[in-house]
Amino acid sequence: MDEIIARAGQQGIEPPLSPEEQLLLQQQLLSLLARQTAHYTAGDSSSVPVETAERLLRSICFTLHIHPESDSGEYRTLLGQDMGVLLARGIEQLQQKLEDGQALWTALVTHLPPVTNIALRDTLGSIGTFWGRYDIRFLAQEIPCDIDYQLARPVPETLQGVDYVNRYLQHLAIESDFLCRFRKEALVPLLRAYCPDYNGLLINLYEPAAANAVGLALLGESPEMLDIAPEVRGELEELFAHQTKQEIRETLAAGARQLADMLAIQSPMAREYLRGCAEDLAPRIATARDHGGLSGIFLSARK
Amino acid sequence: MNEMQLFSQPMQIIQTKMELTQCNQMTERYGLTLSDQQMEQIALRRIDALQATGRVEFGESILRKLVYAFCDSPYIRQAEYANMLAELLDLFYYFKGECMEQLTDDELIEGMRLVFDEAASGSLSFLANLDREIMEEVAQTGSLEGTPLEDGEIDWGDIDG
Repeated sequence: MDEIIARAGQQGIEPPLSPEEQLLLQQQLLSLLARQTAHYTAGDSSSVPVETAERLLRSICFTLHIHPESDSGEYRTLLGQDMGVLLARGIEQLQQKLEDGQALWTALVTHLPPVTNIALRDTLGSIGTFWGRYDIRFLAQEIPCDIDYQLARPVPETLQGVDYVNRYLQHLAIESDFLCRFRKEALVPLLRAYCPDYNGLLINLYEPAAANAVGLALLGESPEMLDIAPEVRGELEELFAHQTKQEIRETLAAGARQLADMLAIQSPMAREYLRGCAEDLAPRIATARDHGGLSGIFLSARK
Repeated sequence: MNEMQLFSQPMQIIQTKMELTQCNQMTERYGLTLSDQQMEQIALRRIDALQATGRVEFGESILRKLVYAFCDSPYIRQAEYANMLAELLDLFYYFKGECMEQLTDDELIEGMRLVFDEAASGSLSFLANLDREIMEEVAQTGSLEGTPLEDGEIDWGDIDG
């Protein structure tokens, strides 16, 4: 054991917590949980259902960035500290995140893309209630709102509470900003070609627009109308005809870069998002190319 | 993830026994005391009752409040004191969960005492078989009025049988 600790020390890695240290940390957490439970029940109840206690403990762990099952040496700095003070500090940080998220949400709802759908509007409406319903003190890991609209690039399920909502909004803001660069007259025919009931069904609006725009950029065409006529699609089929999956991915990444430049997308995060979405098309293109063509990926908006 | 494994059972037993020792000092005047062995049994019973009802309790247990509320009941005598306290403890956690966390500890204990003394004449089986909704109503209003217990409408035969 001493050898492991010494080796870890040499490598600049914190050795894991010893069993005694783990016990001490658990006791500190337990004591904080007892305090939080008393506050949560407003002193009206000496006991709570196990599920409630677990939710309260998850909130504490989320706020303090602790994984209860981990014995990471990073937690050593918590030992012997006033956990109440740390929790208060964590809540302050969450409050700041909450304000940042609300600002982002406000910007989003005041600058909606030219085309939306029911799921998107409902989700934004529901997130609008999140700011008032989020229990920052006791249940900070929870997400008290309904998020139905599917993003092109989903938010990792490991994120919780306001972290999840803010990441979702960041992705949505990227998608919305992208869609705002096109006119409604270009978007509607494309979306109709993609899904006739794009308004009513749970579909993502960014994906088909990004796919067509990347396809056009690859051919040096203007992405403005988002339309890939059959002859243009034929050129794309030729382009990908003899490429491996990896080469397709690289071609698409290059197309995403060209498109971002054409649309003057500056944000590194938005550029990365577009590149990721473009690369996600690679396996579909490889399969579709060998089975009847790319008409299901690069859509003809005008019949 | 079972975070609730954080609890140390031996520590809980020690803490509960300390609480009950303090209660003894107060209940002596009513002729009620618990032996060390009885305290240990009740402490273990508390852990079992919490597990059985899927609950956890932090800090001071509910026992002190139960003891204080019931120690002057005319239906509790030294000979049955330990058993009755253990049963009251079981019933408390049972009703707490059954009433969907809608009752505060004080409301529930007051309701239990009211039913125990006024309607059940000290019968714990009566209390145990009481409908959840009636208990909730008694606890919330602090009265038997307007419930089937008011005029003895509940059939003792059903309960004792």
